[in-house]
Amino acid sequence: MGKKILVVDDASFMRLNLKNILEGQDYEVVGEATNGNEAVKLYQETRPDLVTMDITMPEKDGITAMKEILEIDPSALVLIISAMGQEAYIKKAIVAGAKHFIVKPFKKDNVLKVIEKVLEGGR
Amino acid sequence: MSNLDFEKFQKLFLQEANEQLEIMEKAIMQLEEKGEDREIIDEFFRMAHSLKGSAGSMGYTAIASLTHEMENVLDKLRNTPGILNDDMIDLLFISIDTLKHLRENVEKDLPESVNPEIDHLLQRFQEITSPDGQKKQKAVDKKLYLTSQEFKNLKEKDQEKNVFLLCFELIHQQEMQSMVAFLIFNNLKDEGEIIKTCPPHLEEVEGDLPFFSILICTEKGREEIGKIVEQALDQEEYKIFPWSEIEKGEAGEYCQEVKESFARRDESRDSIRVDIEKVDQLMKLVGELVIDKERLLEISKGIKANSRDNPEAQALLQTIPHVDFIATELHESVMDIRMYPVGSIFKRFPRLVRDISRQTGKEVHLEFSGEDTELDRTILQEVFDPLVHLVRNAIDHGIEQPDQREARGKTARGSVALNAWQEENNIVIEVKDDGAGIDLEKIKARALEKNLVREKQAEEMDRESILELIMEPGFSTSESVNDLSGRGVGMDVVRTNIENLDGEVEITSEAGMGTSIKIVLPLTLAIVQALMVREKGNDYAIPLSAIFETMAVNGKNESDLIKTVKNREVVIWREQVIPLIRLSDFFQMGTSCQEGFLVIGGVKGRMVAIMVEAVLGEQEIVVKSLGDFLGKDKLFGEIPGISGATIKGNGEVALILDIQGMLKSFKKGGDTIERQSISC
Repeated sequence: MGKKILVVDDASFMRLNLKNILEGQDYEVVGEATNGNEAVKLYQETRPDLVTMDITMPEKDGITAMKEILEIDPSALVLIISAMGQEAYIKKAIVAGAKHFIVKPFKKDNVLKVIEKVLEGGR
Repeated sequence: MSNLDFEKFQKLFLQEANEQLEIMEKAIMQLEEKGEDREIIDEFFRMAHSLKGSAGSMGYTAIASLTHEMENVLDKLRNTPGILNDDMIDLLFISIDTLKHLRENVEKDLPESVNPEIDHLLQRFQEITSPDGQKKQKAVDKKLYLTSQEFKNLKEKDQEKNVFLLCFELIHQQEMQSMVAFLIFNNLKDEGEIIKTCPPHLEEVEGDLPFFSILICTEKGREEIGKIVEQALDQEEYKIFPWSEIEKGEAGEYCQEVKESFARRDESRDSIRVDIEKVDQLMKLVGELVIDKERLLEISKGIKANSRDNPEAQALLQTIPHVDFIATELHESVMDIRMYPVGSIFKRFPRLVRDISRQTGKEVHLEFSGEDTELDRTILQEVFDPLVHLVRNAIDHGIEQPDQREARGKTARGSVALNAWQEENNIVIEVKDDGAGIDLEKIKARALEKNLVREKQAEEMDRESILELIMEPGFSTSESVNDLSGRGVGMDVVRTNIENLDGEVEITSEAGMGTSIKIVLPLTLAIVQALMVREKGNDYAIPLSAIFETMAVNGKNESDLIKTVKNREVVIWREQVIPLIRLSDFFQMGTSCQEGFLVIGGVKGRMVAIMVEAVLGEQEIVVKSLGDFLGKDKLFGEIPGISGATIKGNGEVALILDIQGMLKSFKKGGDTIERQSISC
């Protein structure tokens, strides 16, 4: 049974891109959220094994959403998706509990590798 | 000691201290002038030492600890010739000044102040004297150096816990390598004590970092540590050495024990003074080289197509990428020479802040962050005066009197912070206070009074625009013209100075909470990454740092993307409505194209979409000023939207678009603004 993944990104292009990559590899995308609020809500509903979280989004940003998810479920595995050059955000996210990060524009192989690593490392 | 005795001793102490300080001051001036001189250092050392002794026995702890640290530095200078640098000299100067003040306090029977300035000084001394003090050191060297003492300590630590050296070589991760380092650092720091890293201050490094190492002391075993590391990267990307192997020298490639004196020499070796003009000349030449390099790359495109079997052409094709690489490296190296930590100007503030707080009777705590942030030296020098002004303002107009603060539920002592950090291609220096904040209504009233705005205008202004009023010439809110600020040099001068450096001033303020003024400066003035676009046969460069996205516009999606709101064209992008500027319209070059590309860009959160015919690609451009032709009072008058020009790979000139300028002129006059027709 494929691991369940929640994809969070405000750009539909990015969500589609990730979904294609993931579903080609026996992962199940259990939900797609377009902002931080939706992400927290969908996390509670779907309880995925991993969340891919964009940082800059309308309404609620990814780091805040991640913090809220970690409050609900401290063992949540959240992977941050960031644009090049957003070092400060990535650092913030890591300190707040992100398990890893992916830099946009991403390569398929790298995405899968990082996801695998995070899932492996997760309790 | 009876009172009388004490007074006698104190008098003697004061007298002696005076002489000692005079000799020290003379010595430091000689050192600055002549460079290192053993005799002078010896005398300096003796004076510091005896002052320390007498201060200690009189119970003046601040003087004693400061002279103690001075002694350490001087001792180091004695033992390792060739390490005297400007930083040390500055530090010693400041220390002598501080000692003089402390002595005065004693004389005036004031309590010996325990102020943060002294703590900061002490910390800086320790940075210089401790082996890992050099924060800026780059990871050119893969080796982690351990002094004999550290080696011994680690051996002891390994008896109870485990000491591991982790050496990382990132093979798979190519982007933001330093963030992988940060991730690992962050994960490991919960597992034990991180003793040392290479490069030092690993958690603060940004950018490329193919190699780094971490020395950790932990209760965990090898496998557990490995498991934590492998959450972030692959097995083949790191090596782990337990202490036993380090001791046997098996990690010799990555870790080395050094005799104390060598360790010291190593950390501060080889610095020479070079005339800044020489570096500027070098920079200019490198700029020319980058232009030629781009030309070569352009030419090589032509060669590729039509001379496959010409061996000489093939050889040329192989050489050009190398030239490209070398030119880029050379550019970075020269830039690096010019870079200077902002801490070098921050350190001049404690004195100033103390002076102002004394004169105003306000209590102020000065904080720093990001002192290691580096900025072009020339820019840094120009920034000092504006910063002084901002700090003065912060204390003068921002921080309230202690009793007022307490009445407002704040601490009696106000805080002024000097912060610096890098934000994309900019360096930001912030002066932040926790004072009264700026009263918007007062500003409005003042601006009306000074006829800077009309009443109707003032009513419609948003917060940001009101705050910007304080930077208008002729504006000054200071009710009492005093010694410090309000001497006619106002915020308008600050803004002008910063804008001359291509920078900006941003003000945010909250009533009762404080004010933050940010100076945003370009990281480098000379060479930037840009997106090249074309409109009506002319090429334009848009700095990449201001661009978020580009989108193709064609007959199919035009009506979805571009809408008309209140007679103005706008673009809906990520649920935001942003104004559309058609480049042809903006520069009055005729009818705009209907199909082409939208470049979504923005500065300081203000977005704009620019419609162009074609997007040509990214390029490294050398920014050339058009100072003699464009701008206020210049040949062609001020043309908004153009910040300079560059020479393209094919030798032609392209204009560099200034998104902020475009936004400003667009906001001001909309379509009625008079613009001159321009093409290159």
